[in-house]
Amino acid sequence: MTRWLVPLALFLAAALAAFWFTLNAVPGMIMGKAMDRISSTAAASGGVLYAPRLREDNQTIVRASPDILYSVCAFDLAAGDLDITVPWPTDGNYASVSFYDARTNNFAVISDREAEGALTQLRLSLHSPGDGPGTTIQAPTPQGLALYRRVIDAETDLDAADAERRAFTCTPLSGT
Amino acid sequence: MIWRSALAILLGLVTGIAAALFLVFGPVEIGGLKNGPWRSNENIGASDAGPVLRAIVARRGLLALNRSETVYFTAWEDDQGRPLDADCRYAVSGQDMPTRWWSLTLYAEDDFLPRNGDDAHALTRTDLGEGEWNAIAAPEPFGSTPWLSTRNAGTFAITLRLYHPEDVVRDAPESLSLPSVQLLDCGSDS
Repeated sequence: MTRWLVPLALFLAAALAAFWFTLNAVPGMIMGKAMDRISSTAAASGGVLYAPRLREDNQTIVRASPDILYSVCAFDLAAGDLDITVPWPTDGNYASVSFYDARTNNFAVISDREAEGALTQLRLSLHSPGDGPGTTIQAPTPQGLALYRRVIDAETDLDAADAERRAFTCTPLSGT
Repeated sequence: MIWRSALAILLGLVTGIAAALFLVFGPVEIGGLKNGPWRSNENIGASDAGPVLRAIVARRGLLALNRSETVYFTAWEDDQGRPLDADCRYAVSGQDMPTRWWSLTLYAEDDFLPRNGDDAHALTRTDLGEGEWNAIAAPEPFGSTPWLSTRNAGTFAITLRLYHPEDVVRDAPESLSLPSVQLLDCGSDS
């Protein structure tokens, strides 16, 4: 009996371990691939990828929305904090900036509902906010993505919306 | 005995990896709650999502927003529970929903917008108005009815996004009045 029990137990333990390891590794791998792609594409535009309006011939991420203008920067806080400027739409449409860690967790989001002016200045850091001026968001992992969404609909002036969203910037602060 | 044990471990590793990859990359729906043909999951976009849901969302809905910002519903089936089929026509109808703004987007079997040149992938509250509305999901347009093109979409899905939802959306999503998806006809019947 034990002749088969031991291999069976080893089989189940190995299967369970491999299943769990793979499940936990997949988000990081998918996110890492997305960050690499965004970093290489955004290098020419100050670290932010101002993605064109989604069409069927320019899709790179599953289930993206054609009713959103996306702008995104990949961050690495190992070398220092990141200053982020977020513009809010003047036409009253929805906009937000959301932050994702290296395992795809959405650890913070700020939308136009919380905006107090045309622009919001944020600092992204690995350290706790402290008592300094401005809004500091603490990131759980050094690497991740900051994604700015801005709704566009049938009544949106696309050229104006595109010009407006280019005020979304990500500026690394070395040595902080 | 050693060889048998080594073989068992090797088979276990292969089985575990294959099962995880099938779960993430296979045709597994993101379950959670159900409202008519629509499904949603309270943990989409949340930092406390379990490893299974996190992996599936990373594959099927990378960079989703949390529920305070956006609630996502997806229909893979019509009102009668039949898989949505690109060769069929569906009446999609509803009324305004308790949220700041909403949109309907049709995704092909591969989770991307269908590549069909029709430029009819999405409809929004701006297109359909704030009262009762009717639209059609079909391979061809139907008169002036707002249209979601299913051409080249295979076994498709429709995703409903509710931006800045009111509390009732998060508190009682099963009781919301969401759009109906009714089969009209298929293939040569249409």
